[in-house]
Amino acid sequence: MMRTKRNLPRVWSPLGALLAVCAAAQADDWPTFGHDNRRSRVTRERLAPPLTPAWKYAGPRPRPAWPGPAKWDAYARIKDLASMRDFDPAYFVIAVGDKVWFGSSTDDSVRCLDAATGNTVWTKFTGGPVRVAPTWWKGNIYFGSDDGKVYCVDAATGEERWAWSPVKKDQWVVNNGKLISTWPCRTGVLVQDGVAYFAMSLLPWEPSYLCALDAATGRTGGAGRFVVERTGMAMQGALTASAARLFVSQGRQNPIVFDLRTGKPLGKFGKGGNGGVWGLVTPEGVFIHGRGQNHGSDGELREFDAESRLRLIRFRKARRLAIAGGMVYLTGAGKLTAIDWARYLPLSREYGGHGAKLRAAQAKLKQLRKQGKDKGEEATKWRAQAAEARKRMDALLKRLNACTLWSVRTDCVRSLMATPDLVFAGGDGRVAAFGREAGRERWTATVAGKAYGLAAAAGRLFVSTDTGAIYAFRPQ
Amino acid sequence: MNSKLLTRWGALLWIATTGFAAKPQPLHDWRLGRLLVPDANGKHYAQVEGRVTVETAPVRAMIFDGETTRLELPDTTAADLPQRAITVEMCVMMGHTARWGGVVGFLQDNGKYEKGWLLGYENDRFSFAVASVGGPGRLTYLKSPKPFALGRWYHVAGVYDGAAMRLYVNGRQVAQSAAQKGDIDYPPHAWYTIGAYRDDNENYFFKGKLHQLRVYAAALPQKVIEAHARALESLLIQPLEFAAEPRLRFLPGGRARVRWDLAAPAACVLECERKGDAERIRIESKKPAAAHEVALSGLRPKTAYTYRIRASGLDGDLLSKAYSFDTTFDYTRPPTPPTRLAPAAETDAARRAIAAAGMRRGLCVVYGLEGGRLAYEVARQSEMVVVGVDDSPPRVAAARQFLRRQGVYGVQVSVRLASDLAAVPMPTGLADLVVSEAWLRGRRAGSVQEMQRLLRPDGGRLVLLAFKDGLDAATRKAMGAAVANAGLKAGESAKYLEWSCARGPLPGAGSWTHEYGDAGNSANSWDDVGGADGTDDLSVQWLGKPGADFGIDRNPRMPAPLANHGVLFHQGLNRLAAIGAWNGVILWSLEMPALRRVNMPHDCANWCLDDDTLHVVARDNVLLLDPRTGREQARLVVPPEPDGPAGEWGYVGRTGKWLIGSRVRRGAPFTQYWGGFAWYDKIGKAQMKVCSRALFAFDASGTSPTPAWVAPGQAIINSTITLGAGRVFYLESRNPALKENTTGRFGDELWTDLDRVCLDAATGKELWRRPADIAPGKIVVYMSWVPGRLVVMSSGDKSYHVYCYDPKTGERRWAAKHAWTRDNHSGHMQHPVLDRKAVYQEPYAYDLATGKRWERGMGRHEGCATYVGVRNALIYRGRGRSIAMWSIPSGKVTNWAYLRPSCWLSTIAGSGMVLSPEGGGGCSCGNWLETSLGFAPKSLQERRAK
Repeated sequence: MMRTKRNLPRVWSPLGALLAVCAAAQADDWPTFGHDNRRSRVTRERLAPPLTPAWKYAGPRPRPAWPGPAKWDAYARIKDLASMRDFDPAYFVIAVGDKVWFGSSTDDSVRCLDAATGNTVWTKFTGGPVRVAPTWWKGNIYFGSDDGKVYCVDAATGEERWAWSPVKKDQWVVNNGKLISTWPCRTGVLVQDGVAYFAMSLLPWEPSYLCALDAATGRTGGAGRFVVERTGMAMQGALTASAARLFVSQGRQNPIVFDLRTGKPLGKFGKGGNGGVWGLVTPEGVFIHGRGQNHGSDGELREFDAESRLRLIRFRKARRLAIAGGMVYLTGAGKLTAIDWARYLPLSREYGGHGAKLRAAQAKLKQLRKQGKDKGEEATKWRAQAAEARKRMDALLKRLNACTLWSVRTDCVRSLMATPDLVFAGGDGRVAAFGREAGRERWTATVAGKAYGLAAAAGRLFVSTDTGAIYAFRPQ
Repeated sequence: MNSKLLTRWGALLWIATTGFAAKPQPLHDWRLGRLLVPDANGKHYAQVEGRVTVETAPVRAMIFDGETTRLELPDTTAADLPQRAITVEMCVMMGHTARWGGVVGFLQDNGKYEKGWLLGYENDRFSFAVASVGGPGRLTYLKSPKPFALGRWYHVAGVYDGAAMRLYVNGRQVAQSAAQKGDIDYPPHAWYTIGAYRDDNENYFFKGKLHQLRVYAAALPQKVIEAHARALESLLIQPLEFAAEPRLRFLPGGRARVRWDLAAPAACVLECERKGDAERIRIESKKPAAAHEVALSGLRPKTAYTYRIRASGLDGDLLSKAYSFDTTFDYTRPPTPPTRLAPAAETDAARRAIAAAGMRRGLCVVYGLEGGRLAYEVARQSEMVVVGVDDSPPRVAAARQFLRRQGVYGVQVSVRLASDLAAVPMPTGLADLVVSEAWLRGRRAGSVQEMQRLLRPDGGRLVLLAFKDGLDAATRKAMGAAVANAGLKAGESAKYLEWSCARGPLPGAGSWTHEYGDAGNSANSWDDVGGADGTDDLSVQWLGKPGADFGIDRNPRMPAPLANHGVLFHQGLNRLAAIGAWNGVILWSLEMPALRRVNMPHDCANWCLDDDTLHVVARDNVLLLDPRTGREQARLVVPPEPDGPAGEWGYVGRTGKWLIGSRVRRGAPFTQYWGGFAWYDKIGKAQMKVCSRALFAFDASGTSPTPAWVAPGQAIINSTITLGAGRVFYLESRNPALKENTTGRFGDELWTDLDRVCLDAATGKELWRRPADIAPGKIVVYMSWVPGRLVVMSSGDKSYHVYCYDPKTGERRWAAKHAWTRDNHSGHMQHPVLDRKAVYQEPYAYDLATGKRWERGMGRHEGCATYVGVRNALIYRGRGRSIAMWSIPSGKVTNWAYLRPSCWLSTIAGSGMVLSPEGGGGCSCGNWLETSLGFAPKSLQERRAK
């Protein structure tokens, strides 16, 4: 979301106008988690290193909703299991203009800070942890809380505009020493075309609610607004949206997609257990999700066709990813890698098509084996199809690997953000910027803790870590 | 001199001064401890022959069995090996002595034909042999003057520089010779062999362990050999033996206390370091003593540490193995202690309430707020989690602001707004302590009945204080009226009016005190759970920690959790936690390296519980712990077997005033959790039964360190040890062939000369012994007792065999048999559930009195867990592989979708609840919720609604 004309110079000389256009082209806000509803993590804000520390907000250590994953799957001999529910390891910020907002899983509040000084402007308490970053829309801040409500407050003052819950009679449960709703909001609020989307969900055997309200008034009813009640779900982590679809992560369950206008479920992505809470949807209609782990997979990000839900390809060992300027930037396995997206995408679609054929053949063969017909003519046909698909996939894999443009070693793999000329990555105890052309490290700074959150606005870089700290950096 | 030459000279100078050039690079650096054995360059792979096992702790090492194991490099010739100078060094643990012993070499030693080299041993001495072209024409064997000890690690190096041979043990030169001169004289044909003394005439296998093995084409100087040995100090130094291994307990504020016990008094030092950080903290316990306790401070959150204990012994320093702990599992208060404010009524009131509650940890509800000071004081003066509640938005806001200023809001204290204080949406029974700030300040908020509803059953305490200063008569009267008929105890002091009560146990509440519910192994909690017979009758009371990171995994069939009097106990990876059953607040936890046991279907649990004590087995010991605080009350040691092998504590159970224990061979209990074997489901070695060599009884109070009696046995099957009516029942094999067993685990030989035995628990006297006369329990065998009936279930030949006996006489009442449901995922090893009427053995139930089979099928289990009983239902892993309940009265099956138990028994009932500490998160296989939960009967909540 670009900053509005309030930032333009008042003097309209030709030179001033030219400068203003350039500034507008480079200036960008960060109004929601992951920058936009597609969670692209790409900003037009140009940050010019070297950056220097501006301020640090030292909050209490965050209290994530879930403890860490098991150390291993000993039976399957898989170590270093990826967490599939790590949506709140740090206080993720949003930033618009001269303000920064974040929710706290520790003191159950949303805070507004002065982006220049880090001073607190206002604090709004709720009845439970606020786990997902708020969303700014038309001067309002939207967020959900473990207290089972969604709030809309004035961005400047924190004054409550409306609060809403789908549940008439709440029942609290004790959760790590706090009393939360049986229906907490752990998806945050996504605002698109004037509608606020969010979910209330916790226990799969209890009903979950997917809701779409009028963002301005908090009212239900009317076109494109709904409250859908479903069981068997565990909706959590920031929602992701394309123009017509809403993608919902479910922790250890695989993600589900809904029709944005009706709330009708359209199906799930991937196999059961291929969970995770990290999602991104591209303008080309690709949904990338992870880092789930299911019997032998390595906690990767997975690429799907957003429309057909067809599995395309896995980004092995990838932790975070951003797509900007026709390039995929991804971190994982101690590396930052750049891939030519324009070449990669059609190949991955082709790969996914053959993958579907392979799975179909394998399923058919399994069925025939059960029927004792695995030596017949039909089985031979399906075996040939499987072999052909495998062959084509192997060949495509080589071409896909050839799409890698550069790869550099780095310990900064926990978070990723792309600006027009740089890729910022957060690691353990530091954050760094790399040139988008060749991956050369251009700047680095130390921070305390693991840098899980990156955001940029008004020439500043914001880094959130698992110690509860938020760092602001500005150009020197 | 041109610049290029200068650069070269500079480089040479740098090499000379830094010693870089002197850093020796091995020709072969074998990576042992892996099944594939490459050298450091990854170029050479040794060909592994024979039985190969590796271990990873304390270091990666390959185990050579002395019969079949060796590594060969068939393509290696003499030309590939060092010619003039050679160093061969190894880190080795000897497992035997032998006249001709080789660990690595390339030689022929056949009569007078002696060529090549060898590093090995001769009898009980390390040896190094070389033959050279300028030597006497035969091998010269250097031998260490001192014998080696079996079972200890050594660094041994043999060096030949073309003029002299030297042998080093643990960095010290122990022998030398100048008998050999010139290049090594290799035979044209030999084997480059690791793990054997091998030439044309001999093939003697090495028995022991190898951690490192390096061959250099250079003679390493002594200081390098010394440095290499020093780097292995932790292995080479004599290991410190404990009487009781360390127990670490986290304390608030980033601190921890470590206790350990030595066999003999000595001064100790605890050396602790953060993983990946060279800085080491040393804490001395200077006084020579057997029992030690030191405090660690300044621990960082979510950080892994390792520590070792060094003790001064007569024979130099002794060093323990490295233990680890992780502050992720520090569940105490965060490390910023709240500051003390000017004294106020709330300061005193909090002190009185905490004292009345008799506990420092738990959950406190402050019902009705007046600024938040009382919540703050309870938090400051205890380690309780505090939740304030009020129906006034301004009061709630003021309390939050105050508590935030004090730095405790959200960390230890939180405040909730309720629309109606008389019906807050809090779950019934969540609070260990309820106080009221409103009442303290003279405002009669809410209802006393509602406060009482919030009290935890079986000990929750309401302490209502009213500060008399400024309290008018009308308010006083109104307060009196409000508490009338509420059953509160009233009192009055100089400053306060006081009313209090403690909530009693829930009617019908049961407990889970042993692996299978009770000492009789009924697998029944006998808990009414509010009459629940389906998951729909229960609601979530709490959820949260401990999570999956606390445990080992979902698969190794660990001991079941225990629960009694409102406390749940849960074991993880070398750790345990006590959790408030009604609120999930972690009351205390211990990190115990010695705490691990798996494969419960073929062994017995390592803990049990009674009203006053948690008994926890830690190798040779049982620790008696206070259930609510974790304080160590006593330590009992397993009685040794006279002239017998070393033992450790096996079974532990409680009956009457006795703590019954058993002694197993050291190392007999299963502890392995890695890989498919540790699923303990496949038919084969995992079905070996751990057996005891003796039973004994201690006074359960722990006041006497000597057992009341010891009853030796031959092979007492641990999974059958059962207590009931003051008796000890078990199966014992007296097969003479069992005497050869050295592992303490037994297979098919158990089914010969098998007896059913009954002892008097008070005296150990044998009351009856009868031939077992059962089908061999090749898969599992269990025994269970309920009043008037003793049941044996053996599983084998695709069938479950159920036998029922009179426990007084051992006479058989009836027997039955049916097919098991499948031979995997525990379908062949289900433990029966007993109630007063029937024994439930999937998929049938048998009338306990008659043996008549009830054809009404039980809910079918899916996945690896076993059934447990409550009054009206069986709980198991069923529909959709999630936790399910089968109603005994109606046969209806209900479930909690996507909730997974562990692979044996992690969901229990007790204290009126169903408790399911996290046990399945290690499974990377599905959609599981992955959290610990407590379920309370909905009927409790509904009573409030009425």
